[in-house]
Amino acid sequence: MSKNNELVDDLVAKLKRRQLVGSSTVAQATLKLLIVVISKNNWTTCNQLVTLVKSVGRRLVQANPTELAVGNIIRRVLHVIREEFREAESIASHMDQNETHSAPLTTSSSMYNLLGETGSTPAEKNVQYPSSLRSNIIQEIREIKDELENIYENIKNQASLQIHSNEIIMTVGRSKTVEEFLKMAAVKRKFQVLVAESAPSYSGQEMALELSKAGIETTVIPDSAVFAVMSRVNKVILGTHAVLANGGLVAISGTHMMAAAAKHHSIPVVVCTGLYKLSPLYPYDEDSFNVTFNPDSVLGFEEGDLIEKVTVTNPYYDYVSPDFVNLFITNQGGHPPSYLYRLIVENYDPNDHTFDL
Amino acid sequence: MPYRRRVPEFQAIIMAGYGNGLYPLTEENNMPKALLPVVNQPMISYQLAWLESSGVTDVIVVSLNSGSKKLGHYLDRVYEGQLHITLEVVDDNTGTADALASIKDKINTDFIVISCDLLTALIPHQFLDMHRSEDPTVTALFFEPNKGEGGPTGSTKVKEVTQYVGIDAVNSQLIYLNNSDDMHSDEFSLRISLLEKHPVMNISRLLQDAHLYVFKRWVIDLIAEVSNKRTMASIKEHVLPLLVKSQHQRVLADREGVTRAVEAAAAANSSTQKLALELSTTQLPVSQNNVDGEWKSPVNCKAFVIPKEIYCGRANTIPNYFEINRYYTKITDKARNPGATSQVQTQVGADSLIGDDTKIGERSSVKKSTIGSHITIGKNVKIVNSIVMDHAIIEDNVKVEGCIICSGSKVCEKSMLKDCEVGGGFRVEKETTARNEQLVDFQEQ
Amino acid sequence: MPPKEKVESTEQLLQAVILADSFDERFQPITLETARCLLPLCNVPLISYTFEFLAVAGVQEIYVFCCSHSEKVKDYVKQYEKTSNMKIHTIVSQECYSVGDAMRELDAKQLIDTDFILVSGDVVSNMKLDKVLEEHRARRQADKSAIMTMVLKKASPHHRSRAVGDGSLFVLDQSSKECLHYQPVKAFKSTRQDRRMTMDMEIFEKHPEIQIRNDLIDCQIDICSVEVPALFTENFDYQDIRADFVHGILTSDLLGKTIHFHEVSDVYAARVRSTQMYDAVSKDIISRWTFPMVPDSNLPTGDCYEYRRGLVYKEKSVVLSRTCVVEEKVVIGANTQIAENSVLSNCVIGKNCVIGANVKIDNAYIWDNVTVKDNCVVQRSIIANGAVLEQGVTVSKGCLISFNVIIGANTTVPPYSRITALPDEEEGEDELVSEPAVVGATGHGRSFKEAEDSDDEEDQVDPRNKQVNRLAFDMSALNFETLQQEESASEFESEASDVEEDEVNPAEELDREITQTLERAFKEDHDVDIAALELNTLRMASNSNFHEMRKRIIPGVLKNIDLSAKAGSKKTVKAVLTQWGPLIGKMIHDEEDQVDGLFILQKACATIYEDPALAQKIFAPTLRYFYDEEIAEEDSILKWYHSEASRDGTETEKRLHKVATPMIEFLEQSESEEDDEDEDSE
Repeated sequence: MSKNNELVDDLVAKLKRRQLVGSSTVAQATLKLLIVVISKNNWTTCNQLVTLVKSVGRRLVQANPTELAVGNIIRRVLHVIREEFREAESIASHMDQNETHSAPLTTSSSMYNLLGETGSTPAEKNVQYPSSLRSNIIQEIREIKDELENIYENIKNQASLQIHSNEIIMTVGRSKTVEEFLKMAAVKRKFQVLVAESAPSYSGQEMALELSKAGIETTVIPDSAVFAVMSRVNKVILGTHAVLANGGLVAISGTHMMAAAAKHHSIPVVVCTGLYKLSPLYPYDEDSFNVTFNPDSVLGFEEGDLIEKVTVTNPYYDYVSPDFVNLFITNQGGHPPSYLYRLIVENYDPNDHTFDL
Repeated sequence: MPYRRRVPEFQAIIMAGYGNGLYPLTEENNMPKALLPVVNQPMISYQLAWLESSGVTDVIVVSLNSGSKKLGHYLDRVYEGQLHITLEVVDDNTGTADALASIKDKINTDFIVISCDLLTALIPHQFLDMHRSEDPTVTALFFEPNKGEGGPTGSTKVKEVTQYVGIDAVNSQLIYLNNSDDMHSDEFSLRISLLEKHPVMNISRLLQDAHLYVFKRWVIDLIAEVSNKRTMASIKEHVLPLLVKSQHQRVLADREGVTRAVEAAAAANSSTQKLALELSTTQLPVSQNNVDGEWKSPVNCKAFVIPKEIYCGRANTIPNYFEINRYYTKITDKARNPGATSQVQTQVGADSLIGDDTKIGERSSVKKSTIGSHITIGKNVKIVNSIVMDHAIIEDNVKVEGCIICSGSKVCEKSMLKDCEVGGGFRVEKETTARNEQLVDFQEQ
Repeated sequence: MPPKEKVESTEQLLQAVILADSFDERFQPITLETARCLLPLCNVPLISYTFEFLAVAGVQEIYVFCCSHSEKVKDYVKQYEKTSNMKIHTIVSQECYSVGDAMRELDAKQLIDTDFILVSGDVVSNMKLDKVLEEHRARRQADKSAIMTMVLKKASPHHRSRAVGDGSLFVLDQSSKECLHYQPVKAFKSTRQDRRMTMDMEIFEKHPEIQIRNDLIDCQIDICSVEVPALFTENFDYQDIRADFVHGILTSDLLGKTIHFHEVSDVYAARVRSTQMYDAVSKDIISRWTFPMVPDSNLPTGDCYEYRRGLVYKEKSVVLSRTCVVEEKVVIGANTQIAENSVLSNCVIGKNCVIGANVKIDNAYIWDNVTVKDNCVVQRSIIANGAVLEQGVTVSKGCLISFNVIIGANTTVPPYSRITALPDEEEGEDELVSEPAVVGATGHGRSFKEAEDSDDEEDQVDPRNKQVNRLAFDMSALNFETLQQEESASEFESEASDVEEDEVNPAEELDREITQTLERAFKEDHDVDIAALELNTLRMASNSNFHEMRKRIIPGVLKNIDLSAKAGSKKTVKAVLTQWGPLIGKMIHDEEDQVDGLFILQKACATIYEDPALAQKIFAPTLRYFYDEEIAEEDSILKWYHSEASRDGTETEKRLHKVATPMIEFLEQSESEEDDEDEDSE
């Protein structure tokens, strides 16, 4: 257990100090930790394991509440655990030839399940689980890991469907997913890309550099020019930091302006994201998903006289409401925002939305 | 005033002084400093070319009495450029500031002062733009002298005075200027209040004053006052330090008449600028004092430091003169040896230059030297690292190394000269061996 | 155990030394009860910021040096160590009084065997040290005499995070990144030495181009080589690390060591050295300049702050009443309750506080477990744990209210007061004797007086230089005029001395010298002979004559007279003349001198006192004195009187001339009497 704590502490410290940033890195680190935790600890019942994972999860989420990917991975893992246990139980019950009160093994939510007792958690019975349960769970989790590592492959393959020749694409800031997406499309199609530089981090400039290295004709434009140029654009392709349950985005600052401009000109907005970024949380409060950074890049610290009299806020993310987005391209295919609830139900369990026990 | 006459932006003044560090080259029997040849062209032609490319149209050349005739002849007859040049003559032993004071009435715009020994590859507008954009009282040019390639140093060793130059790194303001001679103690000391106004200050002891300044018009009145108070007033030693100090020291500024001069100029140029600013709704009126109620100096000095890649040199001492000659000889695209075909068995090195109508005898060799025109060089002569000016005669079997041989002189046969200067018209007897000497006719001063 | 020679490898254990004691008393009386490094800054102990900073830099082993309240520091460190993966050792030393002593202890214990990071326990920074470490190590590989790298942050001269009282001037060489000279700058400069920066000319020999910087924040984060503690042991009078160690190394020729610097400009680093800096750094943290070390990162375990718009940080369990107003830049700790209509702005409130109704808190720092009852006003102050402010209390600016103090109802605590609940041990009291003047009738606490400085290192420490460090010290609170006067005086004086360097005006200089000599003589009550000797030397040195001396001495002496002085004081006419008259006498020899002296006397009296009535009060006795003491003989007096020049002149001078008339008549009479006598005798 103490070895446990050390590893968890380490990851917690890294998250708090922002030494680990970016959904993908954070998600992978969390998965690795969970694999270790699950395999090294003793547990017999579902509850025990769920409690264990939830306790780890709570600490990790508290460390950095804006890195939604952490919570998402924990929930995926919990979902997998519950599924495996249900399966194992149903096998065991079949062998026992006993009637159980457990609900039928469906992942789809029918009205019956919603209204009736779900009873999906098997009771504390001394059920003999097959010995392969443990390894099954670990196996499933490794599959999630593989999925994470191959996210770009699946998204890339949809690229040539979405982008046509001689189109002008606009994007904002730096997103690895979008970068791979566009690079794949460039293999078969010829198109232009406009990148908004997204001050004050200017990550758009790095994106433009990467794209141009791949041979795509790229232009960097300042954020203020986005609306002016929008009329000539065919599509807007965006990356995002997280996707919320209602289909809203938490994306780099500047995205909201671009999406609003696109809506005004009736330009389709496509968001490329891996499923691990999809979170079951609702944005009741816009600000709670945002991080405000150091104002130094906006107003230098050397301006001694000014900093006393002026408050400078430098929010890193924007909240983009779901009516600005037309299509989500995920590693499981393309979906409209209205379909996201299905994805959430399929991948997460309603008991896991918060990690309180 | 006929309307077709253009109002010039700057007037230029070339200071053609004596050249104390260049004795005996600038004696009466040779030529004034301004006409000393660099790559067989008088030095002053370089400054005139520079001024022409900067857009100046009127130039006043101020020369000392001695040598003024030759200079006048050059400017009237030989000079071929487009500038309109006036020659003013002042008495010997006049300092640069005194000289300016004497031509005070001829100056009616902001003016450039350039010394006749400054040679640079700097593009003029880069320097002048600093003066135009920030409107300071004076813009001065500073350069870091290249370490010479270890060339000849002439017969006497001249000690260079180090200057300590302090420049504000942020806005290129010249804040501190002091010569090593004037700093007596072994402590370097500065007022902290100065550093509060200029928090980042670069001080260098390698920079040298290039003696190229752009002044505002009213400074000439100040210079006139300064020259009244002192004898042999020099711009570099008196006027410039005064202006630099007046930026911070109110007492000094008032006492030396700086504030008075500014106010007189402002009164003379009554412009409607002030009225316009007062009535403006967006501009704050320019107040005499700073925001904090501190006294704001009417003087603002700027320093332009030439980047190391651009060549700049002052031929004010013999080693420097050698160095400049060598540099320009290396980069010039003039014909190296026009009379090559008529020579027999001579060796002329790649970084040497021979002038027109010069005869070189057999088995002679010329290396790293600049030879002028109409020179007769005998047989078996070895000339290394030297400068020979027009109309000189060098007879057979002479060895010359690291020397300057002025015009009209004659070195008779079998002489060996090393690190010497031979004055104009001097006759070096045959079989003379000399080292580190100045061979001149004694002149009555 | 001698230190082991380790081969420079990249796998080295990175060590750091934290000096948890700041060896000064700026936070008293709060630091009488707990260590300075444990004081909360935005509700997190100061030393925890330092630990975080070192953790980010990858330090694996830390030595914490503590002197005062070492038990408390040890406990905190033990607790912290459980949640971190660094090894933290505490070294307790009871007898250290300065940084120098601490370094000597460190050297004695031989714990350090590589290059280490030296910080103090109150540094707040979000800087990543990898680049600096790399540079330092590379430099060390190349040249073993580079013993220290200082980290300096670029700001502007009047930045709020630049400690006003602890300013410093650095002279740097940008090409070799070397620091060439260091000079501390005081806020209030009283001596000429304070106003000037002086540096050795030899520095220019090796470094032809230097840069003088007045805009750097010195965060006192240093990367020291393993030789630094040894150097402290060698020079056992080094106390402060900058003023002594850096200064000493740079000005010593023998050692041949160099100190380098690393300038950063887009990260934050500052030290909480005084209450004023505490204020500035708190504000920086709240404004997120120190991101990611901000309250809502919840770096200490157990905190759960959330960030709200307007730079408001609240923990989840805070209870705010519906009508209370939390303006901007506020931090509120767990379980605190704020009642109706209270207004909070620019403040930090700790855990478990109870704030009553109608309270106004502005620019204040209230720590844990404090109770503030209704209708209080707290401005620009620090209120420590457990304090209670009864109803209607007003705490004015600059106050430090220490632990468990109770301020009685409806009291106004005067500005800049420091109140503690500890009994006064100096007076030998065991129990606290409350001072009602400060804490109110029902209060519990006494005002704390600083101990007088026992060491008189500098003769005239301008007390304002200490005050400048205090919380809420306003530069503008000073009388603007005096400040201006001082400024212009300093400018003038240094201008005068600068001008001096250009052209020495002998007359002015002589004036000055004489005035100074006379002043000195008067002040220190010198013997007349000594004073005369000094003046004579001056005369010879400046190649002047007695006339010039007289011209200045006579007015000098006369100026010393205070007409309104009472009898018996030193300044009456009689006293001054008796004491200093002989001095004038020594300047007057023959008749010409005497006449001249009288002229000078007349002019001097007229100049010093325009009003003839006053002038004659001086003139008459002096003239009398001259006659009595035979400084001026009859003939001379008569000659003077009858000369044209004495009759002309200003009104006052004419009056004085008239005043002398009765005396002259007396003289003439007595002369004629004498003549008679002579005639008689003959």
